[in-house]
Amino acid sequence: MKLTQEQYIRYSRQLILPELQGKGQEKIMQAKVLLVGVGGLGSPQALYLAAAGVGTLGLLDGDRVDLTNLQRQVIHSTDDLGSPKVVSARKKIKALNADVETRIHGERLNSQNAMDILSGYDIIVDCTDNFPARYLLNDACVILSKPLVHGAIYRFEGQTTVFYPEQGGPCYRCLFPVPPAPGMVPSCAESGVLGVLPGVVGLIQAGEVIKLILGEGKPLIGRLLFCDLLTTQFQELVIRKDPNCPLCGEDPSIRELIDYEEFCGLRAHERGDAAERPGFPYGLRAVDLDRKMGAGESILFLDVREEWERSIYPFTEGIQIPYSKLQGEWETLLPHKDREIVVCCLFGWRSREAARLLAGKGFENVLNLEGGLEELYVYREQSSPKEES
Amino acid sequence: MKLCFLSGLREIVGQEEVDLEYEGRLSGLLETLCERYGHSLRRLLLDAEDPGRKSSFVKILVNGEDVGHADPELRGEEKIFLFLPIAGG
Repeated sequence: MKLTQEQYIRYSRQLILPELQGKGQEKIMQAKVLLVGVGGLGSPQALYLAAAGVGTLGLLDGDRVDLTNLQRQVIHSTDDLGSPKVVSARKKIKALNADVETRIHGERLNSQNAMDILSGYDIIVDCTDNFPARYLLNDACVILSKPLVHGAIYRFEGQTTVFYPEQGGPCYRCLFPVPPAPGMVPSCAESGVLGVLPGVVGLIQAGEVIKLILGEGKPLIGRLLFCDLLTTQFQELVIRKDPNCPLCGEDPSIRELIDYEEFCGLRAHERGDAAERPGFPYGLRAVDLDRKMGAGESILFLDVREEWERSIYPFTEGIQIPYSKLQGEWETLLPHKDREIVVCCLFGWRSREAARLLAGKGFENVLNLEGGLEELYVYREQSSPKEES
Repeated sequence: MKLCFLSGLREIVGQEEVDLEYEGRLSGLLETLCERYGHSLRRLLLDAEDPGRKSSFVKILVNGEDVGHADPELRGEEKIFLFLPIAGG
């Protein structure tokens, strides 16, 4: 393909790089890159890869823009609230660079659609937010022999690498053969995330994408890069291919996609299989809590939020002991040992841990408010009778 | 030895690096750490069913080598990295 005069000017600042030149820019303009997830990690990448002139950008996301996204998902605006993320992102990409062809996939990736969708792209970028999707993408990319540019974030910390067993590096299963049990490692919704973190990690991923397209430089194959924005430290570890990996090892046993929700223990978790739930205690959802309270059951609430969080969803019933102090103060609950205790926090993760701690101390009637006070507030708001106007 | 706590573990330990005097098996080191940092670390580092073993999903590299399921003898001069998979995006 030949670049137009306008394209020479538009991309001039990068095509004067000796590693790029006109030929490199042509490679970029012929590349097909799929961003799986157009949230925190996907947003900055969509903008920068579009600006760089990537020929075809696939956008895959089944979610709609909501207010809690806008602190970090910079491709979406306040005006886009309620719109599908892929539609919102396509609008911004078109405005930025009409050279880019955007293909939108407004659905969730699953074992049925993954191979068809991924096979239309050269490079796949993992911008997802859950373990089943990460294992699914990994397996599909290994089976299709495509590079997978990995990024993951948590609070102030990020991990980035390129999984490309074809080029001698490991795959995600070599690194993490087994996923953590559901609820063991909290999500961004549960533990928070610094808004600029996906910008930093996402753009490291975008840099890897460009290098893979160009075949220049030294991609993060076989290297796992950690970044910590709280201490501003970067750490690189060598990661190796596992010869016994069931997917990319010498004698693979996984040759097709499987049920990743099952693999990650989510179905067992939803079914409530006791043996599959090292995550005792039993959860209580907002609807069940209100039913119990409606029936007049005597419940003691234990709010384990930190003091500064209590203004977010005001809740003054029961006893307040921050999770950070519970280990040292749990004995103050001994007079209530025989009562039914419902432990709550903002999103239900720390309270699950707190309930587990109390169960270990001999409290037999402890329940966790799943989804936390946020879910309780949303539930009560939705179920309260609306005033006639 | 120097212990480096990376993603998912640093917030529990409260610092990214810890210097520790220890000689013996890795499993003994993990038990020492769990005693020091409590329940929050124990549930991530040790297997829920078999508390003598490292959990299946925590990643531990001793002098750059992944220990996998092994329980190596440590001499006290190692640099050890510990981290978890994270899924946020």
